[in-house]
Amino acid sequence: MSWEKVFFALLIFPGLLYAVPTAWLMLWLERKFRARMQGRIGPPFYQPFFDFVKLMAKRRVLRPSFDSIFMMGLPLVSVSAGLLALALLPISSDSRGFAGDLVLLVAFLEVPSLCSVLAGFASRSIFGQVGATREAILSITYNLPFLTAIVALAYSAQSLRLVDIAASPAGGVRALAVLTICLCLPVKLRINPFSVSNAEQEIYSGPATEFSGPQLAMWELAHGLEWVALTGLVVCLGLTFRTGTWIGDFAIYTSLSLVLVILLTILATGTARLKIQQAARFYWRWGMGLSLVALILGVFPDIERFIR
Amino acid sequence: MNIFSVLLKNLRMGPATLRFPEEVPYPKGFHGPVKIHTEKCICCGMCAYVCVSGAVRVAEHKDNCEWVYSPGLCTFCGKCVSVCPVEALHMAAKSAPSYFNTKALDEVHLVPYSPCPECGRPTPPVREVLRAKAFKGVAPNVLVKSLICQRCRQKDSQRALVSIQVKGEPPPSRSDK
Amino acid sequence: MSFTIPIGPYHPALEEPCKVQVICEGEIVQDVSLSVKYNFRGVEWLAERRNYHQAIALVERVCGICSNVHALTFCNALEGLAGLTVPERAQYIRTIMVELERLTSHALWAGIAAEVMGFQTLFMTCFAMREQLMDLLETISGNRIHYGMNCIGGVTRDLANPEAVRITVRRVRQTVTDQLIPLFTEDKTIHARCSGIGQMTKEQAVAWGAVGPTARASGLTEDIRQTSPYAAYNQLEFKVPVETSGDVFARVVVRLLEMVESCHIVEQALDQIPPGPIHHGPIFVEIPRGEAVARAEAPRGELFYYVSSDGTDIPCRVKIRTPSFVNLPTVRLMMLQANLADVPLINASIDPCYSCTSR
Ligand code: SF4
Ligand code: SF4
Repeated sequence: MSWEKVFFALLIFPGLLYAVPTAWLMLWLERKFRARMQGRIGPPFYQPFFDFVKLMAKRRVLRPSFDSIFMMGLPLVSVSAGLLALALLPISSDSRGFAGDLVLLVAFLEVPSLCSVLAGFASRSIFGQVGATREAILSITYNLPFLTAIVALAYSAQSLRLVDIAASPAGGVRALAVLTICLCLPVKLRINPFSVSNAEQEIYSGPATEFSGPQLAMWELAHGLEWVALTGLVVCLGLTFRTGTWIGDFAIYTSLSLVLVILLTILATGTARLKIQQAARFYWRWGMGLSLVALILGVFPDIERFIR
Repeated sequence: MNIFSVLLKNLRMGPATLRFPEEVPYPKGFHGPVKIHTEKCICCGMCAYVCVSGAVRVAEHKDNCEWVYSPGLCTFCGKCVSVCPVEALHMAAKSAPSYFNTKALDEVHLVPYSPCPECGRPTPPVREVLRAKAFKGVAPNVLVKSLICQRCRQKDSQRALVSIQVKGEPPPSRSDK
Repeated sequence: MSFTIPIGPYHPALEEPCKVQVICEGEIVQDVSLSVKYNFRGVEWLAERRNYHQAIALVERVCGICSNVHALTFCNALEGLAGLTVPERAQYIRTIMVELERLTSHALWAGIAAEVMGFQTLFMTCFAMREQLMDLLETISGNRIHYGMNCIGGVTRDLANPEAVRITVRRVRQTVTDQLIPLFTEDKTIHARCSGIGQMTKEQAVAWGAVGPTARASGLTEDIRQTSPYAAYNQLEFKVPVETSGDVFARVVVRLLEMVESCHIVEQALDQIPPGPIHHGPIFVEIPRGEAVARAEAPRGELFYYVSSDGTDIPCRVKIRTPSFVNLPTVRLMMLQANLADVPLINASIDPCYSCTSR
């Protein structure tokens, strides 16, 4: 990859210039659609942007220097990780990627959750700590099926390169793996029914409880970027064809991501919050089940052929 | 009905909420801030007696009576309106404006006294409604007395007592009711 | 590792001033301490310094949700003292008001319970329905919460538009039976959150003195409306829903069924309401020397008033015993060994009203 390409991917598309507005758009779409389904008017579409600006303008709370390094640094790391993850996504057909970018992507996608766990403990609030513990437990539960599904994908495509996986033929393995990843989205995005780590009625906003002003703005942004990156990942891995033109790919990618946002919103709006044990049980049972089947099919392709 | 059909219904019906400056019309008989018709008030102080929060205060002065109302203290219970014997009070059809300082909205109304027909001193007013209610079927020569001030009334009763007990005259006639 | 989590006095799930100190081992609750002292207003003390007319408006402010039943019970006690007979029509209007108030209260509770479970949509549904009831109460009484409908010897306002009541109640009943009951009882996530949580057996309910829907969800059948009828309840037919499982889910079911029953009572009352005066006569009545007690079934359980008079226009002593105050200790019982995630829900399940408790 040439340097220009890297910078383009990081700063323009699908990086900063594209991702940040899209993140706000997704956050708005989620709020607006949820409001409409609940019979409310909902915010105007510039609301997430205004929220961001307003939070940025707020006074910083003074803290001991070590804490404040953590509390400013962690959300920033989280935002950068989101951007890096996005830059790796093979959206248009001319992106090449490099061997092993899948591993890097998975790592980047995990960073926001890790940061949030650290932030919860660093904030020294009891609610932040309980939230961080919950986040950590959940992260173990959902990552098992998530990683298994990724492994299954990589194994069946015989490559650790995202473009190869995206270009591999559609089949049972791929469908099951993408389904598992979809299943992990609500918990990775911390929305209902798995909004356990930021359960407002129990522990305020969990790890983010102590954050305010610009730091909170960064968390919000990181959360938005997670939406963009995760929906983007599912679209990239799930979509079996490319239009061949840059504009066509872009349009399909964006619209499918938005459809995914709407589906997730419907799920979040139509459910109550589960308890952490129930969430864990769900992922151990359904997530693991699905991804193991995908893995077995990936390792022994003959079985799939046999079923056919 | 499961939750998704509720969601669908909400989507179809559109939002049930209003954007900020819009508001639902107030219903008829809404309990807004209390308003007074000073030309009806008889300064009896009943409203102040029943008011739980001291939002209505009635203070008598030499030639008028002060009716003070603080919407900031009022609980809008409507008690004062329902006990007023001459229906001098009613409640506005809109809610009171919000306030920072409870005193800022205070209203002071002066109920002027009318001169006593006998001695000419200012005396709390007596309204026709009340006379019609309280002195129903009283002979006109006695009814005149309902307008006079307290002191004149006392004098008058003393005079009557003296005339009955000392001079042995018959009491002023009342019609049969 | 055991740690103490303060829930309240400022907490998003408990908007009222109450502090639940939860001592946890991991996510399991080991002990709970409750304090409800944050909003003491001295209502009883104040009532002893106000005349009876002022005291009615004062006791109505004990609670913001079940305000009417406070004024009603206080008036009942005073009427008992003065030996007044309240006209039939006034009794019916009181019944209708109290039942509509129960509906709003339970709708509010259902919304809060859904919110505590993180089910925002259901919260919105409940509150949209409650809004209709509030509008209705506003048209009847002129106020949205503190209705000011009761006075000694009757009510202050007549029921001007019974048709409006009928229409709204029909709509509310439809929402309850078509949406709330199926949603609360059939939704998988709600079931997962509610059943088997916050258990209280019948014996425990008796021992800890639970009242109202909280007790009825544990199998007790006590309802003041039936055991010692006031207002017009002795002329109305209604069932008292009772569940036996004693968990949060049972409390949900009891309250939902009570809402249907309330709609039924209001409709009956509208059918039977006789024409006539709404007040016994003079506004100012003499309250003779003596003592009186009145009980009523508030939305949260038995409400109790004791009034003693020395013959002046100011009460000697007013004692109020609110249902939440007796129900709150059961929370500790229910929370032991519960999950931290269930703490707000268990607390909400008894429908605690802190402004009643800390009056
Ligand atoms: S409405 Fe009630 S609180 Fe307000 S002034 Fe009248 S009696 Fe007092
Ligand atoms: S407003 Fe009515 S109750 Fe109040 S002092 Fe005047 S006449 Fe009496």
